[in-house]
Amino acid sequence: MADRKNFDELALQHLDTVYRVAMSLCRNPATADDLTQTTFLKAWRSFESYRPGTNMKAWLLRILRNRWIDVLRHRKVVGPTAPVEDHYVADRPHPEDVAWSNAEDLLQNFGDEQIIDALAELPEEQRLTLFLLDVEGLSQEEVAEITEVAVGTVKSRSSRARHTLKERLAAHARDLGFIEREL
Amino acid sequence: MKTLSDIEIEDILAGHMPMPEDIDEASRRRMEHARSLQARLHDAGQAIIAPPALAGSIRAALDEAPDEAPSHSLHMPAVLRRFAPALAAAAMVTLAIGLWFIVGGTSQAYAQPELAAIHETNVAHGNDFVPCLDGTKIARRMQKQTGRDIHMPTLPASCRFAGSTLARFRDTTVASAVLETETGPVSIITIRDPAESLGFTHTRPMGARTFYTCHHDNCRMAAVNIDGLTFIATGEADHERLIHLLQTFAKAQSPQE
Repeated sequence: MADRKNFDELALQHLDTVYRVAMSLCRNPATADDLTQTTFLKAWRSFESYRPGTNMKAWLLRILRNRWIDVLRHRKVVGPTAPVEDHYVADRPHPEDVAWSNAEDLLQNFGDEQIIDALAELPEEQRLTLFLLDVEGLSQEEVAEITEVAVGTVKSRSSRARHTLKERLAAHARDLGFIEREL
Repeated sequence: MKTLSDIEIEDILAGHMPMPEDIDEASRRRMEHARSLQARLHDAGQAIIAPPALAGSIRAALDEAPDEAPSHSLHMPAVLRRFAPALAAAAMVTLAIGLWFIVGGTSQAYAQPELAAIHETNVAHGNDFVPCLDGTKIARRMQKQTGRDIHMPTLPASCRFAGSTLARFRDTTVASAVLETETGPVSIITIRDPAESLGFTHTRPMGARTFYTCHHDNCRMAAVNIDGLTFIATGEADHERLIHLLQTFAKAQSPQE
């Protein structure tokens, strides 16, 4: 049972992280509970393959992402489609910047839940990428490893995610009267 | 005064690049917005914590999980023991067939997101993007990577070459030509795997060639086998337009067509 003790010490300290990322993927507390639990069970069964000294958090999050892909396959659910404006043109103009003349003040008008709800509207890969970078503070390289894409893809996804999130928040701010409607 | 690109902003946020001093006002403002959003997102996200009971239920589930695969002693009836070698061989064959399907299926399932990601990154000028309006130079770079003669076609009037990229696909490096079209950028990705291995959902026989199409999220794809390489057109354009582009590439490789 020495391994089990070792596993508890190394892995369970990342419970909040795994749960948060699970929530960002499935957006449902009950599913996030299940996903978190199956992630730790799968991690325990694969613990022999974990190399001591390597990044346990990234290892767990990669298992979590694979579990989520399994869930989607099982449900035969197609992921959320990106909105039309999500299509990317590098360095396109940023009209929403006008509305964001004082970004910090504007953002303070939103509650945590509203910020997370706006994030939840993003396409899944963008949402996960931005969540791992900004909320969990992982490096682009770690996110690339977890999401199994090139670092360049992580950068383009996070950039698009930021633009889309800003646009969504600016739209919500206009609806809520935080900023001028004509903007 | 320097204007920061989107990718440079990401690099500065990640700490991979220092903030340049001589940036223009718009870039400075975009950088501030990105930092504010990053900080606010961090605070909002960190407020999510696992329910207190979850740790307990995970520990309980782990307690119930077996430490190791249970060992089974072999009490085989004599008749089965007699046929054991044949049964074992049959099991191996079944396992191999199963694995072939599983590995093939998984690989196909991942092909489309991988191709879509290559296109997305191409469009964001990642994947070692080299801007170039000259099809001949693009062909030369792609040729160097694939080891095959690749000829660039004369594009329709509404399209032009924008550059080329190198990306990873199924653990190999693949070259793409990036085109600008009236319906947005299109990547022409060349790979060695046959189009049939990509798991595309529809086939369209046209003349001597079969075109394969599918879409992944908002990204449409069309593929065709041309002389030992597969050309995949990926972008927002409709399948007809992508197939039309691939036909011009097919014609450039085999002018007799």
